[in-house]
Amino acid sequence: MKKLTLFLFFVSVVCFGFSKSKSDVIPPVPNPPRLVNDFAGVMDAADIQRMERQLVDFNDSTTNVICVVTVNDLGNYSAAQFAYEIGDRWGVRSKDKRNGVVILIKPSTGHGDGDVYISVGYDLEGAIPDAIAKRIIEKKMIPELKEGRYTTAIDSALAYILPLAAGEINPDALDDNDDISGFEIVVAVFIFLIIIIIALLFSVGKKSGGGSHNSGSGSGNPVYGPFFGGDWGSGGSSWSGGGFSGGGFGGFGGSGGFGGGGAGGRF
Amino acid sequence: MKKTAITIIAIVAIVALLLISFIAPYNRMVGKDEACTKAWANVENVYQRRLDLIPNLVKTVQGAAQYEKGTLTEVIEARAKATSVQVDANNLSEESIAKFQAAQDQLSGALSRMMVTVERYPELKANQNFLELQAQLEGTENRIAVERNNFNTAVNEYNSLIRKFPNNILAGMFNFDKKGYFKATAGAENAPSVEFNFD
Repeated sequence: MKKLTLFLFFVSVVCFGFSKSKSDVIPPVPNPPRLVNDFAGVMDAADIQRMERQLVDFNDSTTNVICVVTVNDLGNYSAAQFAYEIGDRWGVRSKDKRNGVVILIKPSTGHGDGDVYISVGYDLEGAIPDAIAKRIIEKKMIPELKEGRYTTAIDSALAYILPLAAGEINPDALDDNDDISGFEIVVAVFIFLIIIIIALLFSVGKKSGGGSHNSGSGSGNPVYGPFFGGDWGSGGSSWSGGGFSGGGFGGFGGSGGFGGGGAGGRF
Repeated sequence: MKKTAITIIAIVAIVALLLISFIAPYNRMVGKDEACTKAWANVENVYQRRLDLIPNLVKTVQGAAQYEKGTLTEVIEARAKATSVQVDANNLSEESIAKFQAAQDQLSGALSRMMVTVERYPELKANQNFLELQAQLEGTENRIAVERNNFNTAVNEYNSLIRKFPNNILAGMFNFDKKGYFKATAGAENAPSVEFNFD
């Protein structure tokens, strides 16, 4: 009898241990659904709130679902598989499009090396090809991740991924001269000045000084907007106050949105 | 006279009932069979994607790594072989899947050996074109893993369906044959390391 109990105990331990290491490592769908899930605890509450807001707004305006996940342990999964499983099991996509992205980070402080992976849903594979995902990781994320600046790494990745996913910029914007060249600034300033001068001439001509100055705002080029500071609107909203007046994330769309596209790296 | 009529009607009714009761399982098997065919098409697609990448990759590597003729030839030959092994989607038998997998795995091996030798050429690792192809290759390998897995799931559903009673009788009558799986590659670089977590 004692032996049997011992045996059963052993079996249950093995089964539990095995199932834990094999399947339960993938976290269950957050309830209520959230887009920023810092399971590893490497981000500040304020940053999480700000990023969540940014991603919810992005979801509202484009329907693309960008999900950020940090975990301390990948279990037996590779980063690519782990990100794929999250995308598939959580259903990171909208209802009618397979337009999800999962950004997965396993900090180097956890068990083993640091790992980062950007998993791209089927319908965004054209907008964010593997090679571009790789470049975002190598050039924008890994240098920050190596220094332990996780929030900065994610923010700078989002500064590229959001416009790419929205189809606002073409992938070549990440070429070696990815910051705006001096020449482009000169041209932009020049155009701006011409518009101002024309506007001034008009108002002088009319001798009314009317409100035509506003036409100068045309130079707020949407293509370069996010690349200046990486600060996507929603400045310093006091998160502790009003909370989400616009409502949180509506929910994930369903499985089958991912096919293994994307890229990863180690740090 | 009346008795025989009743018997005939009873037999006809039973046969009709049997036939009707076979319709649903039959249709379910057809559905699962189609799911396997579709999953197979996706598998072929991602493998084809890899085959299409290789000529560019070889050309890029060739420029920088003139001394690695052997590894490059190996890749080219393995690719030619993998291209020649095609599977008919209507005959996804165990042998044909195994043959397909063997050819593709040989190519995977040759490719990974090539990528290892490339580590010795810093000018290649600084080559934007090469880095892009490398990222595409990695992405394609991940896609292959996903589609293989999806195919195995579809085949698993199909195989267990056709073995159930009374589907097995129907399967025998209508030639629904067991389909093959992709097996975990022996010594594959991505084989999961099994570890027991007792905490």
